[in-house]
Amino acid sequence: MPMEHKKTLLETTDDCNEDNKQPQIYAKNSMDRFGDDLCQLLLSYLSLEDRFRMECLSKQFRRTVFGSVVDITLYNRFIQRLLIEKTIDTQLLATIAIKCPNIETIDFRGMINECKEQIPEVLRLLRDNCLNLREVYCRFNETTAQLSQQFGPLVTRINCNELSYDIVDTTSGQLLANNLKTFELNYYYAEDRQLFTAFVAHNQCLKSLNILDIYDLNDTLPELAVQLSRLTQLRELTLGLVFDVLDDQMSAAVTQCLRTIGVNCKGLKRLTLALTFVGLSETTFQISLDSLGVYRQLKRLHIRADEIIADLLLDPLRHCQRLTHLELCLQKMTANVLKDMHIKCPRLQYLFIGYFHNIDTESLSHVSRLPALQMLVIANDCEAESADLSDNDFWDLLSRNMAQQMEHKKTSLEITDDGNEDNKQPQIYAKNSMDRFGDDLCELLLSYLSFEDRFRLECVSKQFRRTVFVSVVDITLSDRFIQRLLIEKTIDTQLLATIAIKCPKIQIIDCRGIDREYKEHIPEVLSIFRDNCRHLREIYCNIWPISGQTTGSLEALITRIVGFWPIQGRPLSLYHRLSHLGIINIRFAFDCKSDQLLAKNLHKFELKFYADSDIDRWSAFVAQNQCLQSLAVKEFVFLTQEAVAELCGQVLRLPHLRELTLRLLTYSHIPINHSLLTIGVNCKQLQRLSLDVTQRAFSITAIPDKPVLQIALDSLGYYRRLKWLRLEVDAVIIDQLLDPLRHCKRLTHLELYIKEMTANVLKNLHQYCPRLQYLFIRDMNNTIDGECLSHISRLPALQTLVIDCHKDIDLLDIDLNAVLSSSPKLKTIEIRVNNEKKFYSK
Amino acid sequence: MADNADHIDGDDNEDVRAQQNLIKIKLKSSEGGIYECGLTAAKMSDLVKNMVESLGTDAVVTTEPIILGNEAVTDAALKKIIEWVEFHWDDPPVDHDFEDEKDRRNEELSHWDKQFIDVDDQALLFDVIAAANYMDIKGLVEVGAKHICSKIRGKSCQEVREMLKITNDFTAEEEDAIHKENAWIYAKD
Repeated sequence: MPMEHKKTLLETTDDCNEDNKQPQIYAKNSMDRFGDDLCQLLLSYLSLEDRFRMECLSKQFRRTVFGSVVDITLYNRFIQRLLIEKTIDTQLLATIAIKCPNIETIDFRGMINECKEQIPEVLRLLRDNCLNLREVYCRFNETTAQLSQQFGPLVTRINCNELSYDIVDTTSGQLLANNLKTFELNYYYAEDRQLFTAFVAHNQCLKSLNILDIYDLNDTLPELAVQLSRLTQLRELTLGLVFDVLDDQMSAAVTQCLRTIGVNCKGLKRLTLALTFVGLSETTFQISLDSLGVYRQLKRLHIRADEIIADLLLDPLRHCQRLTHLELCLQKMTANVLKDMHIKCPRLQYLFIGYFHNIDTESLSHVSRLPALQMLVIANDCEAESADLSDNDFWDLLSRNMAQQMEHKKTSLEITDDGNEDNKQPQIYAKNSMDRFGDDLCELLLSYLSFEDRFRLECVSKQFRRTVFVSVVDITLSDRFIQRLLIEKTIDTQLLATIAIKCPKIQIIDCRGIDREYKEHIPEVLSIFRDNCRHLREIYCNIWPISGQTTGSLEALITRIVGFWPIQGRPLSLYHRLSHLGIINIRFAFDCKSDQLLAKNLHKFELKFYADSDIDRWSAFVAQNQCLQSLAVKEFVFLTQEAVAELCGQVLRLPHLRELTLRLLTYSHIPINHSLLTIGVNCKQLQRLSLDVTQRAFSITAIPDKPVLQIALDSLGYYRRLKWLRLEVDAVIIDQLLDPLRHCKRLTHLELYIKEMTANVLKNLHQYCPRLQYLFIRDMNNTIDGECLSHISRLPALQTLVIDCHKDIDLLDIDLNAVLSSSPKLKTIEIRVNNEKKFYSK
Repeated sequence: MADNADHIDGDDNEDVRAQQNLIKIKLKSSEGGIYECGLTAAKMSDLVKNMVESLGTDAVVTTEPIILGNEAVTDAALKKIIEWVEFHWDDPPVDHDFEDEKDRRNEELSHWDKQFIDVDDQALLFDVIAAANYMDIKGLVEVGAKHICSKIRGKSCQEVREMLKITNDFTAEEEDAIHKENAWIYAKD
């Protein structure tokens, strides 16, 4: 019986899983010898249709032939085969889909009109059966537009003709293309600008964008540059510019546009520029592309132009050291364009030249010097007369180039030997000499020097010279710095360029501290830094209406403006990368004519004055700055209770707010408490609060028979996540002022500026704030006494205590040392008397 | 009670850190001296932290001391380093939401740190810095860096060479050329 059973078992195994059998010997020349894995790999190069054709070749084929179907491209023929009469054979399609469970990508950009109406149905069936489907590529037109409603999140790649016809839902006006990775647009006109702005806002993760023909360049270019520079994820860009005029002005506009895009889209690796000309030009005009140099990460560049180009067209490429592929389709190219290419593009591996008539022996000799070139393609343009070159010329090129490459390798080896003295044998240095440190540590240690000290100490030693400037990443420009650069009244540009070149890693320049006198020089100084420091990304500055002050073409770099005053013709909207803004009146954030909001998507905002009349603007501002993280309102003027309520009501609409500074003037404590409560309850994520409460009763004519109100801040208890609190109260308080803090268990940092401070305020603080690590008290009336200190010494987590007072404090060293020893974690007490500091530590 | 639930978390973490610092581990200098240090404090060194994590806490506590082989980790330097980490292990963590790198770099050293790092023996000072760098204690290297930079602030090159015992490996001509390039820094002072 047992034998019987075993036999059946064996037989069953035999049946269903043939691979588990004893290893079989296959003929060497039979494909059966391959296992499933290898078989699947080999068959993965079959077309979709061939796979079905081959399915029944063997059981192994059946198992493996569909596993590798990951992306499929659908053509009309495929759909036609699925049709019974005029409807899709759903049963059939489902069977197909089930056979290919690993499909991730479906591309039907190649489908033309007749089968279009079937697409949604096909797509739905594939989606429902292929669980791995992630991406759909399609060509958009009015009939396929509805796809995005059904399959929106799946559609990641779209080709379309015109924005206004193809990607907008004609009935609702809604944008149909969101979160795309690749987008190809055939035509772009001036009237598409608005739509394109919306498109960019909804497609921030776009990786590849091709706009084939851009018209109305005068109107479209500046706005296009601004919008494209918001696409920071962009890796590949095609711009087809269609010119009807070609002159210096247009050339400057193109340069500016390319610069803005290049500066902001730092990740761009592939760029195609097609310059087409449809009108009359000044016959002598030469196209040059000066701002190509800002595309530092560029690896592939394709330029197409049918007009006369400047000999120096490719000169800016000397900054694009990463370039490996270059395609030139320049109808009127001369050999000079290729001159010195070997210096500009040392890594160029692939060169394509679009017109055979461009090539002569001179240009070949330029090409032969390219040190890394592996492939040269020259397209033969039949219409043009063929160039006078023989095969010998090309053989000559090959041999010269090989010699050149050998030479280059040798030189680069030699240079390595030469320039790096650190590779020498280790030397023994004295223990107390800084020479003992390697370059890395030396660089780190010197990184805390001021900008000017670095220059002063450059010639201490060769190691200093090598390391002292490497860590200059952000610099703050001062009046004195600019003063030193001046010869008479102009900037010594040569000197400044030398300075900038020494500090190649500068990323951020802060010139907010520069005073009126030197303001006019800022644009010039900044532009020299920009041209020499290729890592420069951000500029912080003030913008005041000083005659002649412009920021030049630096808008694209400016990310923080702390003092802004609107200047005619320079609206805030120019600074589209702005993240921090400080202004006096909220009016300045709006266009003075149309009253449209110009400052959007800020992270930090400081407002000096807020008045009743600002309510409407304030709510518009909040609506378009939902990512605000830090908000400060410094002064209130002419404020009614409703205005405070409205202001605070808007604040709670900011879901990302983490830091809030408010100055409140009040007649009574009720509205303050109410407003603070509204904010506290709703802004759960608020971590830092700075509150300055001044009682209005003192500041305007006092009403004699009205009793002085005592300030209580009960609503502070609603700020559960508060870590950091600064409290300034210029009014009579109650002893229980800090009681609400018992709900703020996360509080680690507390600063008190309380005019009528009493010891009782601190009484139970050790129970309320068990995590308090830092306590600052401004002691205006010498209130701090032994009792206060004994309250403080009970704070279980306190590490630092700072007391700031005007006159000498009535405390003895012995008292303070006693606090230090009795408090469990206190490390330091700092007593400040008129800015002089005295320390006590364990 | 549910209302309180959202501000209890984190307490545990601090308590665990305090508890763990009661556990003592042994560190051995390159000169052979063995010193005890609280576990949390010792883990301010990324080098020690990685070792403890790969060996397991139990192993570290019960077995041999952790050997710090770099020649800069002398007995004296290691004692200083342990003093520093034992003082700083419970420092408030950096809040990346608010404090950026630049603010921290520009912050003045605390009173305690100033006193700690102001050692007369420059060989020891450099040992502490090099050892902290080897042990990967970023905060302490920063203290050393700020100290050195504050000492050489505004000094002439010759003064700095003398103070930090740096050999001048420039020729006179080279030095002159650099001076000329940087003349702007001395002008109008």
